[in-house]
Amino acid sequence: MRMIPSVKTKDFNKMGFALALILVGAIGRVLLSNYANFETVLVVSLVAGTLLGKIYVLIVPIVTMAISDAAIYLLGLGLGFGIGALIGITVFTWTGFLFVSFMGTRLKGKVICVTKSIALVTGVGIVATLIYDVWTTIGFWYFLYPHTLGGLSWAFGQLTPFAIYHLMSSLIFIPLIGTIFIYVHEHGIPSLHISPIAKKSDDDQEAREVCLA
Amino acid sequence: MKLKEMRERNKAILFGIVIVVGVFGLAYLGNLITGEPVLRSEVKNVHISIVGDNWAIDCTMETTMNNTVYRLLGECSEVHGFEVKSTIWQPYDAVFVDSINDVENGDGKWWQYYVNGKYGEVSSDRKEISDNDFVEWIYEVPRI
Repeated sequence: MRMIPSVKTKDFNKMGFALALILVGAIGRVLLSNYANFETVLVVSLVAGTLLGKIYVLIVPIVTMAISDAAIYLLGLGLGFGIGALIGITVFTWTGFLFVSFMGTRLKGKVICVTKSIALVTGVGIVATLIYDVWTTIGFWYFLYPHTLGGLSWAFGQLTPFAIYHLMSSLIFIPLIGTIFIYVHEHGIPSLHISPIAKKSDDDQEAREVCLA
Repeated sequence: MKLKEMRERNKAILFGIVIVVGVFGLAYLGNLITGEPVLRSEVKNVHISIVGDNWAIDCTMETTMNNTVYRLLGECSEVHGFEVKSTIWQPYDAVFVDSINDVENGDGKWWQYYVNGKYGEVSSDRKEISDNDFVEWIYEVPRI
């Protein structure tokens, strides 16, 4: 007898999966709100596009942002933007994550729980992060800075450190959270129980260990 | 050995190494950009003026160890008994002033500082001041 991880046979339904993505994205964003550009919304948006597609491409990023934005401002963790700038910047951030989600749909059906796939998702996530940062910087420039070349140049000058830390966030959270969701999407929720282990081929066992690692 | 021929476990290890190197590399780069904090040192005869919409507060310090724009603002707030609210922006490890004397950033106007008439291009806690400097905090539409 030996303790081994096993999986539930019942498939995770899409609604439940989307709900889990939203919770991870929103809770992560609120908890990390003091660390600008360390966030979990990008990864859940990307995963929603990659694994769920359809209407979830819209639902997951929008609902995640709505819940977390509300929580951040109710808890007084947001920056003191005026209402006009706040609404304008919100449009840019929400549509930015929608774009990430749509980028994820390009990988739909191509992602399984192996290193190559996770590296691919991470790579797409890195590109998505840079596009998101450029897009939202345009939003900041439009709503907060003068509409001059100097204003635009200043806004993009401010982008560099934020982009660096946003890339760090993506490099950490996409492999970490992405792998968990890709595994669950493929195998269901893992649970531990004690049972005799059936002999499996080395490759199967190895791939499984990598996913669980 | 080609990547295709590598065992899954080795691929995972290689991927993990790439991620760790990437994260630490970016952290190092971020640290280079944000720079080192300003160490305290004595400055003499510095003046600070805080200008709101219809009010102004002035302070002059003959000698002070508060040798950044932000520390000087803090000293002036203690002298005159007004409040300064600020947020630490982690990516820069820098201070962002949200409100002075209950006047908050918003609706197109922000608290901005100038040293000897020159617009501040780094956060106020990273801007070191020297003897005889004149610091202004003005609530205005950004002039950039």
